[in-house]
Amino acid sequence: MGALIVFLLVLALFAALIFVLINNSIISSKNNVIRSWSDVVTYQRQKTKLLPDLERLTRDYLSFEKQLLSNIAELRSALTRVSPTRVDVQALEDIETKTQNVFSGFRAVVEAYPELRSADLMRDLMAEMIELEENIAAAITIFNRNVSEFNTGIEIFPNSIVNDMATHLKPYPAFRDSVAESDIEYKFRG
Amino acid sequence: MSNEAILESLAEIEAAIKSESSNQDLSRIFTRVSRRTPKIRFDHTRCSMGVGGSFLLVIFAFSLPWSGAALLLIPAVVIGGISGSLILSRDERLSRISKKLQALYEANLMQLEAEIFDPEDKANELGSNYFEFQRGDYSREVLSLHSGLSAGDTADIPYQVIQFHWVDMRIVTRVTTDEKGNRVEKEEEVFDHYYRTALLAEIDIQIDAYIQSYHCESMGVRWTTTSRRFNGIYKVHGESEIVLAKLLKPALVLLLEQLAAEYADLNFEFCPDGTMLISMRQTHLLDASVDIYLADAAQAAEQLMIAASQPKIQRILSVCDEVSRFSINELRRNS
Repeated sequence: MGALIVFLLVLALFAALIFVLINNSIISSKNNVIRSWSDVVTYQRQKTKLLPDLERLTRDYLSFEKQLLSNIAELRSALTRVSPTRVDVQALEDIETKTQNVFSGFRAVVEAYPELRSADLMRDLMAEMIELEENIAAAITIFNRNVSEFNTGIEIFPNSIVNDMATHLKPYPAFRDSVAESDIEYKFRG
Repeated sequence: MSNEAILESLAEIEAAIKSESSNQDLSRIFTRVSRRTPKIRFDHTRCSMGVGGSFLLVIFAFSLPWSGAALLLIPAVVIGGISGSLILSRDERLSRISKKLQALYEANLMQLEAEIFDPEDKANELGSNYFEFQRGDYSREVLSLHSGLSAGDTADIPYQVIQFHWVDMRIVTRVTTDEKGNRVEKEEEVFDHYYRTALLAEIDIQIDAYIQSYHCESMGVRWTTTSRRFNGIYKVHGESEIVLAKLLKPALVLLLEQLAAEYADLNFEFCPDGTMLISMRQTHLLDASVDIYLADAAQAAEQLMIAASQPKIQRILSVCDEVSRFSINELRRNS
């Protein structure tokens, strides 16, 4: 009888240890998702540094200025709405759409005024845009990977039991990088 | 293909060898030549017939009286001799051109300047700057060092390709039994040899940072990226978290992850003297394995095109370029 009690106690302790380890791994995985999300937001917000240059470059080209300036204002406002601590892929989708509106408007200006293409400021701006977009794409890739690991982590057995009993976390939606398909936007996979 | 066309192609290749064309130019010449003569091989039908015919004549001549035989033997020997030497001289020419071509190709590859040094002194000299060259508790030596200059997208990058060898010594205890059946423990020295390749490039950035696939103490502040895959491959240390955060932009993180799948045991060291060392398990960065066969001009052109660009070195140098593009600008902007 005594041996059985000791055995059950050891078993309970072992189960508790496993429970704690799984609980910690879920929380660590969630924090990693938040951290990678915050990276995505940080790089998205770096776009605000480029916007004044964009405005300055297009100021002289009046026929396009109105629409482009209004797109820039919309993008700026969308960038302030996204939070680095709360995952909101809908807000990210909104930013990406507005970014594409600004970039396509800017491309239209460049195509209409070829002399703009040779301006030093323009070349620097384009290089920075490309660099920023590459970093955003990479940050989103890492975010998606972390989301996938987290979602798997809370759905597989026995982690799902620990999640139901203790952490109560829901799967995060991933972001689909459809740049290769449409060349203009990211779409939310819901 | 007529022999005239083959001769024309050979003349073009010989001219390229004489003018010491680059491997890229050789590749272009072979592409052009392969359109005219896909196989650079002489047609020996007539000459072979000449040799065969004269051989038969010689045999037939021996069945004739001496005066008649002499009349047949002289033209048979002349025809056979001319045909045979024509075959031999053509083949010899092909073989001579092949050898010269191979030599030129390899000389083009080794345009890197080789440095002469004392292997241990050089290892110690490099070891004063880079952890990579401090590895090995028994002995260390630099096997070879070649310098070169690469035209990068952002700037020209002076670089060195270094082959390094180090030895770790460990004591193992072997247990045996003697004739009387007693257990005998014997300590033995075991030497583990490690061969590594490193590329040392000058970059315009002065930071102290280490991205390594092995754990090493006392390298500064520890840093982890948001990518668990990257963190599983590399351990990152450096002078400060802010410098490491600026260095390891997401695009660079993904690039280094990809690179780890291509090269074994990769390490990156950024030194405050403005250099970057990328080291890996021994890899033949210079691909001198191409054998140029004249017989197949199209294949030779393709091989030359691939090898001339030195893809392995370019791949590693592209990392220096990407570091410049993604991280150095950011580090400079915020310095």
